[in-house]
Amino acid sequence: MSSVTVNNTAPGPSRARRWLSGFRERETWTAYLFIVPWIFGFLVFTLGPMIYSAYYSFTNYGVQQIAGISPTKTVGFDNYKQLYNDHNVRVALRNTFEYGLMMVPTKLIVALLLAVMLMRIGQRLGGVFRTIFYLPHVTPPVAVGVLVLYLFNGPYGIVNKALSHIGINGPFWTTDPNWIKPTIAIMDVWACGGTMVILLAALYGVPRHLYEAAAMDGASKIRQFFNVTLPMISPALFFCFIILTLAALNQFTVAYTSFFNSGSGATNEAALFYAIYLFQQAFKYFNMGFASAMAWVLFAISMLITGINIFATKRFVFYQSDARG
Amino acid sequence: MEGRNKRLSILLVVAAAIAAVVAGTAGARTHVHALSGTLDIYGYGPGDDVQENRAAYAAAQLQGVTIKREAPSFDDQAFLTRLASGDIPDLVRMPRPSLALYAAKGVLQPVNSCVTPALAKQYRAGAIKAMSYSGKLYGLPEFTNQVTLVVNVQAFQEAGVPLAQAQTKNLKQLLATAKKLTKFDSSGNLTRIGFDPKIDSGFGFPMWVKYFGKNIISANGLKAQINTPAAVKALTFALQVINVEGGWNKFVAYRNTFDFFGAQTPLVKDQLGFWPMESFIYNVFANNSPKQHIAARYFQNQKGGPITFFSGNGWAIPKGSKNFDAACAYMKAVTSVDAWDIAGAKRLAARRAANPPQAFTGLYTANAVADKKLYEDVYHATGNPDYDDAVKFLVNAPKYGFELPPTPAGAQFANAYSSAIQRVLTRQQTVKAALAQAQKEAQAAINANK
Repeated sequence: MSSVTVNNTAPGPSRARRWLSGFRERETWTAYLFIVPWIFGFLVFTLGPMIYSAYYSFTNYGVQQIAGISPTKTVGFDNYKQLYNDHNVRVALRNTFEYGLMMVPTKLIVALLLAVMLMRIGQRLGGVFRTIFYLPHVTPPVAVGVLVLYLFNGPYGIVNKALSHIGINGPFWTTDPNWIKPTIAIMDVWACGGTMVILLAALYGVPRHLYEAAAMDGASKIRQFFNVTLPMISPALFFCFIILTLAALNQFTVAYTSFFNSGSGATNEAALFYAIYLFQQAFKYFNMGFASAMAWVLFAISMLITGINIFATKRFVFYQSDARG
Repeated sequence: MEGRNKRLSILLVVAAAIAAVVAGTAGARTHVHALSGTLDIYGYGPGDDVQENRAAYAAAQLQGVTIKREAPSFDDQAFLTRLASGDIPDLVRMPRPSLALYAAKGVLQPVNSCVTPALAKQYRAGAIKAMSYSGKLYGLPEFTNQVTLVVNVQAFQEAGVPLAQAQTKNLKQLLATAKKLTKFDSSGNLTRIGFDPKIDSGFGFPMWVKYFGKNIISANGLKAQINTPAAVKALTFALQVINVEGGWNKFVAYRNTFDFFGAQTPLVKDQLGFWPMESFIYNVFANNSPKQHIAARYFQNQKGGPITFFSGNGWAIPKGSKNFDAACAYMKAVTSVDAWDIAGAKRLAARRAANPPQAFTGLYTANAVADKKLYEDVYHATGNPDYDDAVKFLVNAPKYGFELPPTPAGAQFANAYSSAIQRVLTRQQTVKAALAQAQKEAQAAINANK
């Protein structure tokens, strides 16, 4: 009996060649045709402005340049140096990080608990609650911003009135600088329906036989949750973690509507998030070059945090495709 | 010989007469341009009856000009987008504090060539200053919203405080009055604020600093004066008032429950003793809570002299306007005595014809001549003595008006001191430290933009 030896070390076609060869297939052309509108949108509305903003971050682009009165001049790294020395940038970054540290883990935990609860109750009741929990997620952030001021208005808001019934003297949520970020985080957690739905889908995807096997081995429900559920939904958890972190870095609408839109000009520094300060620099003071530099710093921070997260959580995220080899 | 001389004299007289007529016609031609073309106005879209009636009057003065009025109100971003795309409006109405920023950056053009000094004199001096930058006039002001003290008479009566104590001259007495008028419930929550100094409002800080005899910015708009002893005193006093009224947290949480524009005004609910406020509020209260007793008083400085703060919009012509003559003519027409007079008369008629009839507490413009005419020819007493007395105050208040000199730092200047006030009120910084930081930020913004 002859044996066939397969040479595993022989080089295959390069990745580029494989990609090109795909175009021999009609389906490839069809697929690309379908994604052309997205690619067009990405190039025109995302990549193009990004490239422009990278250029502007090294220029003096402002009112005169926008109006075409004087030419745009390059200023080297001046905008970045100014950014480094700007007190408000430091305040905004600190606020943004603190808020992220409050909001991301809390929202993830609450969303996960709700998803687990929905798994446990029946399909019919689950549907009703899923809708109820999801509703805040589709509430416009501007409306949420206005709601914050009503719900959390010291002793006159519904929240403190409710707390007083159980003997808790609630804080001045919207005026005390120590409570402003937690208040915005609470409203964000309230709108955790989107995260919950993703985690719920992941929970439905966990094979039942794994629980049966664990139960046969004598694992308690809590042990099953930590040793079966969490590892199996870890890719979804990780995805939500990254998305929520990026959302925290970009917090704008709720905080702006609540604390910067009174018309009186009064602002509360405790709610000065990075995206708000960027907006002010760009569209209230028209320091477009400086605002572009701010945007690129935010982009770099986002990339860095995402990279660290990917690296740090490698050990904890379990992909079934990895298991299949 | 005599006959010849006579003929020559007649000939000379006729020649001179013809020359005079020709010269006169030519002279007239240089001053009166036939207006034509299109006038694209930004920031003055369809509005209330006063706006529409003035717009109709102005349009009638510009026969032969096609007028476009699209955007309802001025928006910086939209305005800049139009400039960037070359779609430059011919005329723009914008808030007066924005004007200096655009003037400093060369976006607007001076209008001294079409607004004579005699015409400019018709307008309130403070408002004209706010429309000027670097010695040049950049447009004409529209409304003024003068600030006076609004007094809730019921609160004074209920607290047994004489109405004469609704004053700002004597700070010690003011603090005591604020304390007497302030009420708390059994849980320690506010049920009435005695006196709101409005330090966190757009006009509050400049007005309180003026109280101590200073301005928060130099006359040329290029030097911030936010941390002067007068400014420190102003903010310190406001903080003192708020502290005797329960502190900022309680104060602002309670104030956020007020409904100034609905039927349940702070007068109806007896939530506020007295406070400085812009003139438009009398019109609101006269119609929404006419039965509540109200009194108007001047905001006095420490010497007892009345002071009031002006704010409002202004008209300006962007550089690149394709129809400067029509733009200037429209700007003059829409802020003219006749335009205000017609709009005022029509509003009075409309208010009287309403069912139930509504009160008309006058229009307060930046045109002093128009204000006088409106009060003398158009205004009729409402029949409500409280509001009729208030109108008398409002009519006289502009004499004591001041407006912040325009600064090229624009919104950045106001933001610097507003943030400082917030830091003080929320106890994050001392008065001196907060104002010192604001001074630094504001001056840096001016330097970067001048």
